[in-house]
Amino acid sequence: MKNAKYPLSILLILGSKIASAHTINYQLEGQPIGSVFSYYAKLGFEHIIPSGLDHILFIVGLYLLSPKLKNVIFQATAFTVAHTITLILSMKNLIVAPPALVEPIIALSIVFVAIENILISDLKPWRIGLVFLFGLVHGMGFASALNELGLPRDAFFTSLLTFNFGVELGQISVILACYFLFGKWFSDKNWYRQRIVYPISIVIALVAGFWTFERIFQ
Amino acid sequence: MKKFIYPIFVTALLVTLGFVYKKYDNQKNAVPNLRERATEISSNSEWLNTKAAIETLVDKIRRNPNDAKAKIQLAMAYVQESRVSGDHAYYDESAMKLVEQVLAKEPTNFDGLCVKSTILLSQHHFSDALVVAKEVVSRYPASAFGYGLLCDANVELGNYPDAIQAADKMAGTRPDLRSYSRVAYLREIHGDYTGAKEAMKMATGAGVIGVEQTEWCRTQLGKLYEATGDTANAAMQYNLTLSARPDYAYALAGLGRLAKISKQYTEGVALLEIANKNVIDFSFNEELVDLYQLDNQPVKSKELAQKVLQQLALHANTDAAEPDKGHYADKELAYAYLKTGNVEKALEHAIREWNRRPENIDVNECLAWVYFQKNDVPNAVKYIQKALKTNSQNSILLWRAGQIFIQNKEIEKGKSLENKALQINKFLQTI
Repeated sequence: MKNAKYPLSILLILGSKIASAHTINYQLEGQPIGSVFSYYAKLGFEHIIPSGLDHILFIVGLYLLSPKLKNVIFQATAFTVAHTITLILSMKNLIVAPPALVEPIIALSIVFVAIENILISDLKPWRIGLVFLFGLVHGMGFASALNELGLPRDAFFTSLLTFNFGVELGQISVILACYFLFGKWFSDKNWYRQRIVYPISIVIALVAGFWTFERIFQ
Repeated sequence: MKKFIYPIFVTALLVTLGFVYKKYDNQKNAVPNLRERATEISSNSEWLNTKAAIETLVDKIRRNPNDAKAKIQLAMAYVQESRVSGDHAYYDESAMKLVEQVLAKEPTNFDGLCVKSTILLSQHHFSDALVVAKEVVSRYPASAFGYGLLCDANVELGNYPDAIQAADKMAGTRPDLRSYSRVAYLREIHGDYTGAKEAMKMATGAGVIGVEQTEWCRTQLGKLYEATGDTANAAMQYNLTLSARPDYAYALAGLGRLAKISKQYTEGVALLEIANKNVIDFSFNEELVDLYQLDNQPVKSKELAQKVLQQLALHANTDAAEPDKGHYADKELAYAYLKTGNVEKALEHAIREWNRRPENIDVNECLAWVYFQKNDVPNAVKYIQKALKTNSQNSILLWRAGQIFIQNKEIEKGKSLENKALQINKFLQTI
């Protein structure tokens, strides 16, 4: 047995800009708020771990600059505020960013952060600004993932914010992993930069450099 | 030296960013080329004419990148080529690129908006297509074509009363092949096969014999006969099409299905293999999967079932962030996964499609059938009831509904639906 029907659209014979709303998730409309919360929080978390290797490397890059808590918090906050702004604007269709442009820039942002870790050893004011700018671009990348599954109309902001909450949990997990894997044990060693920061940053820069090349020329 | 490293590094970043933008801009404004057709459908004068016309348009645009008229004409040609070759992934994207370039400068260009809505329909981006179709109708209310777009988008989204209204308006404004064929489809999904056949006959009568659109309508007429068990008339329509348009894939596939009904499996395989070579259409492969099985070629059948999944995944793009790219093919993927026994993946795709168009009867049927295969009878009942809402008399739908109701202990209702399905199409059990 098979579905023998063809969509009528194939019959079209020839002879603006779309102001479309966000993709709608009808299945979650009218569902208890707890279900919506857990669904989108999980989705946001999974978009970082395990699916978002590029975002993971970016966060690791931010952590590597300096293990001081203040520096990590400043950068992570700038990144979070920025990607939240563009995520909301993208989902409201107030900005439309083509992945062909966003994806290479995301990869390039990782290269930048990794190389900068080798060039500077402490948090500079411009680094916060750049992290903020890159955060804006990463937010557009998050919007692509969220758009795939859509948002329920009756819980637009709840689902959007819980997705973002999931992303934050993912980011915090990466930071904690960095802390417990090497920050806690080695950051006060005088060889920390030579043996930890430089090698990891070089690997991150190479991987992200490859992604940049791949995404530009694909 | 050290103090220069950082500025050099930042400059390199800015240069790379500029390069990324330039590359993107070039890609956006590039003129897409025509692809060679499969050998079987390339050896005729129509192909040579198409090729010459398209090459002229490409040349015109290369000489004058601001030639909006040529861009629209090329986009229209690519939409048509997409139908003929079945290479929707490439041609729809190429046509969209050209249309977007025109609409960026002339946002209310009539042809631009029409082509854009057409492409979105072909890509199964129905909500977006509806938005553009509404814009066409509000700006150009005298255009029958706009109502056609509105009708198609509403049908696919399951807004059936709105679709009927648009089709009436279209037929009233311009009664021709396009409007009659839409009327036929609407009658079909509302259970009126006799009326559907009448309207489709009028559509074929209004077209020029041999032209692709006319022959497409004729194969649809054949399918209407096939759906009601009238194989003789179905075969006649398919053969008429082939006499006017040799190697027409949809007619060959129709004859292949009829061969399957008459248990001539080897012949069916041969016909569908030719159709499959001529045009990229996943439904041909799906038919072939069954036919290989029936023709005692289980290994080939299994291999092809996997290949269908790979091809669909390759062509499908579920990335809604890039609406001008790729096709939504989740319903097709759901059925393809069912065929390979992967019910979980089938459910994932069926739900994804249902989220896009929860009112469409075909999508509800698909979701209900997947739930049924998963032994989730309450959900299967819920969605099959929605699938039956237009009183469609499609025998496969009725047979599936019957199975679901029987499983739900509504034996009488289920048996009655199964009997009805067999009355409508006596060959149903062989399909």
